Amino acid sequence: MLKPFGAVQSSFRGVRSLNATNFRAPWPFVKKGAFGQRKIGPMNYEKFKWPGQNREFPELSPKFQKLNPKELHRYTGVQEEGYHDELSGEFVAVKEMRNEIVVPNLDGFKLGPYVSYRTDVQIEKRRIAYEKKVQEKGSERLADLHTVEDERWPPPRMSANTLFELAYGDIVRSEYKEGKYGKVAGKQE
Amino acid sequence: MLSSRVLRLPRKPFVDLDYAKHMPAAYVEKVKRTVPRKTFGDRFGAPDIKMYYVHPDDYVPSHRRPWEDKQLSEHLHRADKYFSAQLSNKFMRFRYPKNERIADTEWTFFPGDLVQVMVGKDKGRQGLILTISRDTSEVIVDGLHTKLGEDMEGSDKLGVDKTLRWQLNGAGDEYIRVSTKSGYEIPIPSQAKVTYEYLQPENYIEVEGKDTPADLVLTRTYIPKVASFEQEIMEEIGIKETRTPKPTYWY
Amino acid sequence: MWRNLPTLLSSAVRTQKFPLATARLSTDANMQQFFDDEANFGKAELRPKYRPGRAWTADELRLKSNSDLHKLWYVCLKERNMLITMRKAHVSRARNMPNPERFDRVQESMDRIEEVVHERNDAVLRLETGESAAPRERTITSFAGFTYQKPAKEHYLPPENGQKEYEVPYLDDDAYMMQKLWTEKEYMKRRDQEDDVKRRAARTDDMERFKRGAPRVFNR
Repeated sequence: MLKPFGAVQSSFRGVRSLNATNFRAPWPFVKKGAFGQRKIGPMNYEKFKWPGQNREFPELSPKFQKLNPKELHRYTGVQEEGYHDELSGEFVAVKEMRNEIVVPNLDGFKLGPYVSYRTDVQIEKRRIAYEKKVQEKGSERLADLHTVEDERWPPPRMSANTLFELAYGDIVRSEYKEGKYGKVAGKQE
Repeated sequence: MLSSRVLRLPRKPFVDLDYAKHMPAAYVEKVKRTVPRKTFGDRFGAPDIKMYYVHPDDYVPSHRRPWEDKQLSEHLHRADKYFSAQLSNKFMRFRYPKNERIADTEWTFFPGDLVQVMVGKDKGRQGLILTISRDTSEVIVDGLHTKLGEDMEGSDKLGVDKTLRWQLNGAGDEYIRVSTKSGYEIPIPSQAKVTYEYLQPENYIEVEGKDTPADLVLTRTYIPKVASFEQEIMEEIGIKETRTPKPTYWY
Repeated sequence: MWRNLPTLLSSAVRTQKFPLATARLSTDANMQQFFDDEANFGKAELRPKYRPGRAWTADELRLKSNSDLHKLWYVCLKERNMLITMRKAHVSRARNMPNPERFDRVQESMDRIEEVVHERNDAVLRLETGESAAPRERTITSFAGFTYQKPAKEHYLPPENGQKEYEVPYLDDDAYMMQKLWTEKEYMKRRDQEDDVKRRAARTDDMERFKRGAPRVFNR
């Protein structure tokens, strides 16, 4: 049952309280700055509706702001094929700036975009055989000397050391023996 | 000479037995939605700020595969909740699930194993393991609809704990599964090798035109040369370049 | 809710077939390269027979010549293009594409091709010029006092006064204060985080159950 505003609440026990809550105004008073526990009425914070970091409004992204560096103003995300000449006011195309995509001829190319899972079986066989070889020979270095390159797994990474050995190793070694780099230490003439 | 490396001895072939073994990690993360929605980078040396779809601390694993319809829609729902909490500046408590994953080297159950309930009112009932869920350490057994409860507390005395263990085989190059009580080897069932893609790798059905067969994959065509990738391709296609670039400054 | 819609739809109409390719497309072999196998149209999940294999690994790609890698890159690119086409077709009919993990498989292959090519170029460049093939980086100190790596840019002219950024051994007043406060803030964040972890570990199920308080009943 609703009680009219302003009516003094009388207790069941016959004790009349003079508490201020019992003398409420007929209209809601909104006290300025009354927050937290003492808030009155539903509060709508407009601030929460403003776009910000969490709200993902691209208009506020630094990409579209006036204060941005000049390079970003016409930024399209694509590499430019020339430059804007300020003297003549025209766009000058530069051949070197154009992207050229070199596409190979795929006719007769047999490799596909995916690998069959049967390969895993073959790889496992190779790996086990190679591990056995290593155990037999005692070290990876010795095992590498006694196995064909294709029968090792995993195949070695390419590094500058390896490439030097393959490309120049023999030449440098023979030239060293010939004495092109000065006297060979420990060798008597 | 070309030399190879990486040897793992003794081998533990059981550690990577998994139904989802071949699922790309990036895809699994994507369907779990534990990927950044947006990364605020370029902060003059301060670390990036990441906004997630579902925060990794909030992701609760399930026995279902994350890419299944039901699980996926659950993740999407959670991501929506998280996002709307952020929009309305509400505080959202992350779920911080306790990590129940047992180490790969400790795990002994595999699909296809015959298991028996050791304690409780269902004691003695048997069934074959259908699926295992490593993230939640759950096992789904065919024909058994039971749940482990408080009974597990005193299970050490009943001999439930450590029924199986991993032990080096005679040759000393591989770990095998051995029963603690009897000492017999219990081989891993063939069903454990089943993944999403195949029942057994030997019997995988190759898709014509998409899959590269093994012999083609493992043929060596690389001959090392002192020329960069671009130089070799230019030589092969017949592109000749006469211009020489002027020196530039990098700063 | 609306996000779940495609999933719900797909399970509802999974059994239906829909004509995606016209007869004209199916006859032209060159045109067909842009589309998936017709057996895969409108499926919720590919049948095992049509499910393609795994991505190329770096170890396998190390066996392949540069020309093969170049071609394989374009094979992967064509596959990705085909997948994007199929996803577009499915989405426009409110379906989910079957087996979207194919995207990630192709992406993995392409990433690894780049990795192997970089490895080879790096070896050649290190041998011939002594420099790495990786993009050039500079260590600089920002106004806020952070020292970090930044990709260097190419310029035609040498730097003018104040154009080039450097690493600074001693910070000026503002940057120093920024760094001091930053480390303090990070320390406090970490401390609070550790507290949270401990508090979470100490929480029991009962505390969770009685979090909101038991219902208070006054029977007197």
